[in-house]
Amino acid sequence: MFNKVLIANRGEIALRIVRACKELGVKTVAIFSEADRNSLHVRMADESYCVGPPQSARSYLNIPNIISAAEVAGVDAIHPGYGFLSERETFAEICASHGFKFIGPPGPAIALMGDKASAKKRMEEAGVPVIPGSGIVESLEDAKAFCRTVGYPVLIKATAGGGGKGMRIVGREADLAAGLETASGEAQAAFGDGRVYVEKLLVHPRHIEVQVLADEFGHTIHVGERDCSVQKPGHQKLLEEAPAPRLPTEVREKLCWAAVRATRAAEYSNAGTLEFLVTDDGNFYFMEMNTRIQVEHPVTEVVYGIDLVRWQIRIAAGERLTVRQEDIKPRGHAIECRINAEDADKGFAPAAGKLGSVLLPGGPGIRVDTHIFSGAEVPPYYDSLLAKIIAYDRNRASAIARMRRALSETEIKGVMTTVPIHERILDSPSFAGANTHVTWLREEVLQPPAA
Amino acid sequence: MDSASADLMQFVQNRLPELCEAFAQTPLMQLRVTTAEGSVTLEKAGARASSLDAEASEPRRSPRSHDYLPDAEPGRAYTTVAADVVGIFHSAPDALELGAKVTPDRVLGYIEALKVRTPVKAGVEGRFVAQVAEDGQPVDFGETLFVIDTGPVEALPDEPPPSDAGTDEGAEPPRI
Repeated sequence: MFNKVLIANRGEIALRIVRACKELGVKTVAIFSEADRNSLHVRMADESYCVGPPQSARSYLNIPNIISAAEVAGVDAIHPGYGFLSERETFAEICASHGFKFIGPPGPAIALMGDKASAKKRMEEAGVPVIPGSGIVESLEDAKAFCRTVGYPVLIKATAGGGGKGMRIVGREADLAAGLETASGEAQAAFGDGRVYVEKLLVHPRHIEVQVLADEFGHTIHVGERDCSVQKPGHQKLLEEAPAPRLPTEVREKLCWAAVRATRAAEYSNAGTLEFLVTDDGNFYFMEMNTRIQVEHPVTEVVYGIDLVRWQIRIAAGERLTVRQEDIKPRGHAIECRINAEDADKGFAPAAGKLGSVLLPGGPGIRVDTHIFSGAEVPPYYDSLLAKIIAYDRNRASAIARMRRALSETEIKGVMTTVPIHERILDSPSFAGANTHVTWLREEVLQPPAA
Repeated sequence: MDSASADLMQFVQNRLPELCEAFAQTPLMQLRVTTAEGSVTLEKAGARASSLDAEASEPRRSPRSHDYLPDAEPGRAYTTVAADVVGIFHSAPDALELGAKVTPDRVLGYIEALKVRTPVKAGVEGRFVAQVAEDGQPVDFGETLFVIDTGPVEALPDEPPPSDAGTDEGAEPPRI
């Protein structure tokens, strides 16, 4: 096991990693920006180093400063958390070349899965279903032929993609030419690259992802699935649960095994997540792999009784994964609500500022992962996540009731938060019936159809 | 001292120094600020220094914009564009020339907060007078970012106003 680990992150995940290290008897080194001097992760770690000014690019993304802190502190390993440098192959390689073990997958696996095209190709080769796509559109005739094969509606996407730029939904052939032209023009303006491709558009799919764990000796297991269909506009997750409700056993089995095959095909080790879109006919399609720990990992931890962050560290330290696939059995149901500093009524407008009093829920079946406390600052430089409230119980209905109770106990003064929108979600009959999909929140909660 | 003049004194002590410095960095020659506490008019050196309701004091601290509205030419109205979220202000990559026409949908800059980039739109039609906030500066809710001349656009001369503040050698160039 490592002697000392540097945590190249901030906020609740930095704290989560400090906690895992402490339980393993590993010393911890926090890094922080000038805006995070009084953060909880700094207070909880054994040592801490300031790595730069508030802007992420100059602190939490500043590789030379982070490596210098690791050198000075004399650590054995670096845990990147999520976001920031966690999915940068170059960072993993720089860590290795300086003699620090990167707590995550090997660099080549990050690179492979980080590139949409190469990831999709490898998944197809491994027999994992992917969303049918056209490849780069060379001519209108080619695009038409592709669309006839997969059927409308289709989605035009920019190769350089991101943030919805260069994306167009086309419902019929007559609109294809105009759609291609607009999308290509937008992509050219946004990314300096006008190349686009066409995909089959899945109607109201659910976002279901599979947690995997693999050691460095080739032992790979899945740790079940999570349903993350409750998303803000822009595909950002707001509420996650495990196991996925309303998922037939045979689909679940196929999905989880596809994830294991995908992980092996990527020559992957450590913790990772394969994201799929699942349609009501039971078909599923690979979207992408997140080669890191995820925000919503706690729902898996509480339902499967497994400590994912501890396993990340143990696997990176060269230990064998002693959990067998047959030991992975869900018990009960867990829901996570992301409490963000945002005003849901104003399109989730960011709400940075100084917090007033903070009272967080507790009691049976409640876990809270957070870095906030009364009077803490929410600096504008980083993401909006304030806290994750996880409720678990014997079944989904009682977990929902428990979450409602937990939200009613939650008091965060000083900034707008997502507590009220979560209360609306939990009160919705279609959420109770698990009839959610990736645009459900927008279509049925934020802009409900007129009664 | 009654409470109104106490408020005015507080305003003079707390906010005027910053205001002066912010004013010095604009190409404007005259500035009138009206708040609940009273009103203050500033004029650039070279012009006759004057005060209406309070005396201007020397700037002491780094400029931070506040809710000020420059005194427009007679018959013209100026309006300010303020931050509606707390965050880091960024100038638009296609910054406007001083005096350029703006439409309500024109994006003048962005505020970045919690990994969300919120565009700052002009909101009104007019001519671009000044950018008050600096690129990369943290801004508070309601803080002034831009000043726009909303007077009748067609009545303006085609030439933009002179960009250096008259003959005052000490004046800084406008920040656009």
